[in-house]
Amino acid sequence: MSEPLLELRHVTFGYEREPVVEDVSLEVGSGDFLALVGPNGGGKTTLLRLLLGLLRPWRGEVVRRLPRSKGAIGYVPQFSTFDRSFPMRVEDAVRMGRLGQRGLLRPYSAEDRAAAARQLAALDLANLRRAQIAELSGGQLQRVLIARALVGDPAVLLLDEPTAAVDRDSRRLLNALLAEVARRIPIVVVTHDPTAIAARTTAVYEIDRRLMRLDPQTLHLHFHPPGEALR
Amino acid sequence: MSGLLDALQLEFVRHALLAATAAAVLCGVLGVFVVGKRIAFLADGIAHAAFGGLGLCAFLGLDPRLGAIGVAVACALALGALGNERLRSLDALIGVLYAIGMAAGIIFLAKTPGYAPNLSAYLFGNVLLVSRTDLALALGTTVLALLLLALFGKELVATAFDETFAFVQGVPVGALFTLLLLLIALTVVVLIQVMGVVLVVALLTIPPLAARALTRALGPMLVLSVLGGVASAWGGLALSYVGDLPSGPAIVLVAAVLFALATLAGALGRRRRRA
Repeated sequence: MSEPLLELRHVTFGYEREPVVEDVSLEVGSGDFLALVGPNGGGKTTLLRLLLGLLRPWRGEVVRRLPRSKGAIGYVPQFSTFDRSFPMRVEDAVRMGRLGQRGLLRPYSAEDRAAAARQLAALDLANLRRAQIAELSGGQLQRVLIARALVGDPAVLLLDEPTAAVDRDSRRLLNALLAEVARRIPIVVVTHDPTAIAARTTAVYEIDRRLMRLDPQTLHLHFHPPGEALR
Repeated sequence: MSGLLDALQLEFVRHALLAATAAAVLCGVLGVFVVGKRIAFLADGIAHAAFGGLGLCAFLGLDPRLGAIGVAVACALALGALGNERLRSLDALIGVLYAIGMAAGIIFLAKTPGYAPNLSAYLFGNVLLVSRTDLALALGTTVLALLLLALFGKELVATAFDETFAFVQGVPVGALFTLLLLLIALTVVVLIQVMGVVLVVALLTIPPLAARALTRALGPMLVLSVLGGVASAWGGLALSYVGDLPSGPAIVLVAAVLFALATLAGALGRRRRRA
């Protein structure tokens, strides 16, 4: 077993005085397809942001063993974290995923453009290449964000609620897409609805300040109120 | 019309026109980022704080521009150090900065010995006061800003669109935000002369918003924003000259008319596309 790419060791972090996540340890390595569930405010996004290096833990350690210092993590944010009305064409948004490779003071190259075009084609977005971000449906935008995360050839993919704002068909499509990607690189996905994706994941964790690994057998009981489970 | 052309014979009118044009180009480009990143209130805060520095230097008998630049740059560095994310929850603090700067500026100017500097010239702009140094400052800042935007364009665009993703890609988001604020600080000082402290934010917001009403693509938006700014500046200065109006409000008036026209044209265009 190779060493994990990302590792949280007894990490505690909070924004104000109270910790939002406490004594959390997690390893993300090759072959992993981890789902992260939990109540609102339970620390799902915070955990992802700790893995990304956006937040520094109060206590504990975040270890990254990535092949390059920049652009080795593919990241798919929630819609609410960026400006959907910003003037940006689909192909230009996807090309942002090459920033890590390109570095400062060097313009995007023909190679970046080609990589973006390939990635768009792979996700069935080629005909939307020149569309503005603002014109896309939820499912389309989500695929654009995944294309952007993958175009830089990352070593690991982190997604924050990728199926929250899309319809059911798109959701099925996205889950299949993630399963496909998971065969190549490890994935951590924050989700509201683990039952749809549970069969494909290698482990499901619940975070509510503390992290707990859930038993796949009891997952459906956990996420549907008893009345609903009976139906 | 011939009156306007005659006016161009006068050196101070040419200076005014050049300074206003430089300011409009600067604002047209920077404004797209100000609007995109929703930091107009920061620009306004920096402008009003700078007014405090301006007043202090006038009071001490120094060049008021030095005070304005000093305070604006200090504010840009301090706000940049706090970071965009934290600033959004500190908007009341910007209000405090705004108020203190304004109050200090007015008190210092009121107590400035010797001839009383014309307060309304600072508040609403007076292009008659544009000196050679002012012009050099305006042109220098414009060239510097365009150069930096060309060098860091792809990072600034990425950061404006999605700061978190840019950070994950290794873009120095914090440093770029400070750079943007520093450019805004210099722009604000240039603008005080042309627009006045109170109206500084107008050229940073109205032309980009007008451009955004007409197009959703970034490149055309930058071009339209610059053209709208320059048209507002020229139209406003002409109006100011003909009607003997303060230059800042005259420019804002013209910009507002352009904005209304752009919004109307944008709405009609969308309706036609839908039909």
